[in-house]
Amino acid sequence: MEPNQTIQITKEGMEIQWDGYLTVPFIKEWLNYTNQWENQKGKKIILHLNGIERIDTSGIQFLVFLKKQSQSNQQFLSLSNHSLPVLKIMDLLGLVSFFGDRIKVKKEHSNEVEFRYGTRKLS
Amino acid sequence: MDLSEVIDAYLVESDELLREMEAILLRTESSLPDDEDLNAIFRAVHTIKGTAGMFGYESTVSFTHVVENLLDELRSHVIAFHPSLTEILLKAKDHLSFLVSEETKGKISNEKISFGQLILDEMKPFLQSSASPPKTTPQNDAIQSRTHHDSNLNDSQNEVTTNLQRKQLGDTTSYLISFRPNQNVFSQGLDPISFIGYLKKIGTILSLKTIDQFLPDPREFDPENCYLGFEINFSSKENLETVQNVFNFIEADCFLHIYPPGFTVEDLVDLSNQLPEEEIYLGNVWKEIQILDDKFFLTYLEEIKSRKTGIPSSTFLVSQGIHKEESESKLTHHNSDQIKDSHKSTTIKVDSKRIDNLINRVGELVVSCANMNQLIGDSDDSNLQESSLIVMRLLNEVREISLKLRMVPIGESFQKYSRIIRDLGKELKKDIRLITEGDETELDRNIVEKLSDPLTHLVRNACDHGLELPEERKKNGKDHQGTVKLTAYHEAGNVIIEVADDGNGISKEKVWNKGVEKGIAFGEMPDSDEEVYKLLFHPGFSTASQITNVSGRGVGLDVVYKNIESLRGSISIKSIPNQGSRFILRLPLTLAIIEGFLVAVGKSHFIIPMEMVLECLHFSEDHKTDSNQFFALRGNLIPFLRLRDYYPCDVDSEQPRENIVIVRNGDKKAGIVVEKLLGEYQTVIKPMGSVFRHVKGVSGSSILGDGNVALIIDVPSLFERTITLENQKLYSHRG
Repeated sequence: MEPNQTIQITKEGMEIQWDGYLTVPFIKEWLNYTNQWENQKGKKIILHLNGIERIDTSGIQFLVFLKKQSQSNQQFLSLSNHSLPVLKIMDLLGLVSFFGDRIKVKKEHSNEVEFRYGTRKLS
Repeated sequence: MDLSEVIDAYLVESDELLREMEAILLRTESSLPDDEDLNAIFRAVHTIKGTAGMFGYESTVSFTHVVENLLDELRSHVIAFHPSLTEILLKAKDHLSFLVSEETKGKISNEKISFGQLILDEMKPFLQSSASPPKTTPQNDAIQSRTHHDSNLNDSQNEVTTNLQRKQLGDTTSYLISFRPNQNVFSQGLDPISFIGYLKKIGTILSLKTIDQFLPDPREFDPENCYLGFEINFSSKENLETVQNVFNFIEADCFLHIYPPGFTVEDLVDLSNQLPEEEIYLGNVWKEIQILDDKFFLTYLEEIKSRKTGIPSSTFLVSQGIHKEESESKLTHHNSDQIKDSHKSTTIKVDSKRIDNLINRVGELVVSCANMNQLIGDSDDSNLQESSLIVMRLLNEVREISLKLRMVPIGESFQKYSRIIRDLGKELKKDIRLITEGDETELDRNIVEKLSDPLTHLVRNACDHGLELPEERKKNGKDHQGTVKLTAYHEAGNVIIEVADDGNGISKEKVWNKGVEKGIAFGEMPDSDEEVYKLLFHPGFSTASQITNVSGRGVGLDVVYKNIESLRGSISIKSIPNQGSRFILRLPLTLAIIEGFLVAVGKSHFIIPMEMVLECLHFSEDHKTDSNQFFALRGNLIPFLRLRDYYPCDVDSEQPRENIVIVRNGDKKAGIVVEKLLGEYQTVIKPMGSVFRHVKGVSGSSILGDGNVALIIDVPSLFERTITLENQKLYSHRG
């Protein structure tokens, strides 16, 4: 599936919707999009991920990269509306507290994720 | 990955550890071992057990397990060190050495296993003496070792620690998995997370930490590269192999280290050295994934600090109640260890075959450059000549550096004789001590390896026939303890190794009479000691009145002689009645490349080892008439020989102008008459083909720059051959 990005400018910054696969071929393209965020210093960027149908190691690595980048660029990146594949990989890798966003798990998906670790911020 | 390489590394590592263990155990005979010693022995056995376990060498693992239990009780002072343990632990070390080498070959007989059991049975009384019998499961074992490792606590604290530890490992199926996929793993079509996900099918991931330390700057970020790593606390009832199998497909494309349940803080410190992240960062990660609790996190940090500085932490010393003086002595001890450690950290292990290959190539380069230099020398281009000189100088440096790669201190092999002497002393009921000197003297590893047998033979001879029994020594006014001394030093481009004893010496008369009796000596005893002692190297020669199962002076010395000869070395004997004997081995530094002096007779070329050449002189007409084969040099008469008389040489049509090369062999001088002196020549020794193996006076050959072959003169054996021929002439005249 082709990567697709929808951008909506808000008062605080921008809201972005991504659809498609968060895997190497698409990340190459998304990387170009994210380069455009650089001038959004001090702004809030909300990244909606409910359209992500597939994500692998390169995909979660990309999200970790973006989060770290946004911190060093003094931006506020928050991930929102995580799709089940995204939730599952964040659960497996214990990255929930790293991103620090609110997680909403649909009732029908409650058996698919456990959140045994990585959900608590450690000092 | 080639498994044989890993097994080789295991063999080498085990050998080093066992040697260290033996050296410490031998020291315990004179003074009780300190904590450092006991820890070192424990670590040696523990490491071997760990590696053997990885390869599935069950016999080694089950044997070391019991030995490890005993050592663990010793180092934690549950039991005290009893002198008789030295003997048992030495036996255990020998058996372990055997198990390690044989199990890798896949052949352990039941007989040998039951022999191991006998050693373990000897340990039992000591193990049973402990308040609580040792646990036999690896998990409990690890709890013990962790508890003992945290030796900064007093007994009551230890108890608390044990409980804490047990609580922490309530689930004793906890594996630690360190997983670092290679950067190019995506291009191999592999998704590392899918392997982690698969772990869930064989157990439970208790906790996982994603390592993102190596994510690069935006400009360097490449989505095709993997920068993440993972530390996993994984619980499973499956065995290590099953857990490892999860990563089978990615094994070649990642760094993977799986510790099965029972790993210790020390293991974590070892692992932290292999991982790219900082030790403290890793400690925090392991704390976060509940591998380490607060207490063991501190122990981990102390261990890191201790290894880095070589100084145990202050809490360790205080809680041990160690006095200041002791602390200071420990500090000094640790500082010396630190020096060793810093040396270790700059040392890498390289397959000796690779170094041999390098030296061979450098050798070829030396020959080619010598050829090039010869051609350039003939040209008039001064720039070219200058450049060629620079290349030669650099090449000489490279040659020396590459040769040094293969050099090892002889001390490593001297060490093993302390065990031989200890065992022989017990067997022969003699009190013997070993003194070594010049342990740091370096020698080609190949020579050191080949020296092992002859040296062992000489040491055994010295113990058995050289040294007297204690009562006899007292009668002769000597100390009841006999001494065997091994000395190594450099002399004129050679390495000299001496095996000396302070025993009763060799009786010249006895040797000569025995020689006459055997029909290998004739007439009256010559004045020269050397002539007499040479008989000792005759096959089957022995002056021993009794044949013991250890040795007989003379028996087997012919083998020693041949071994030394095959190394292009020589052997001589010095002995003073009632004061002892000295066997002096003279060996070349290396077998590969020598500095030679190129000479020619007719159209044939010869190379004389440079370190033996003293000077070159014109051989005048007067000397040519000298039928006694002696040359007068500044008032001294020096024996000489003509190479032309010994080797068939093509004759030049011109009447040759002769020169004499004065050579030194040990403390003697001799002359070799040649026709042309061609100067210094670096040469690579090519071994002679098997057809020429028995040719005397030649130690090898070399290809010259112009493609011609030059024979390398083996000076000692050439002169020996001359003496033999002269003697034969003499006896035939008499006859």
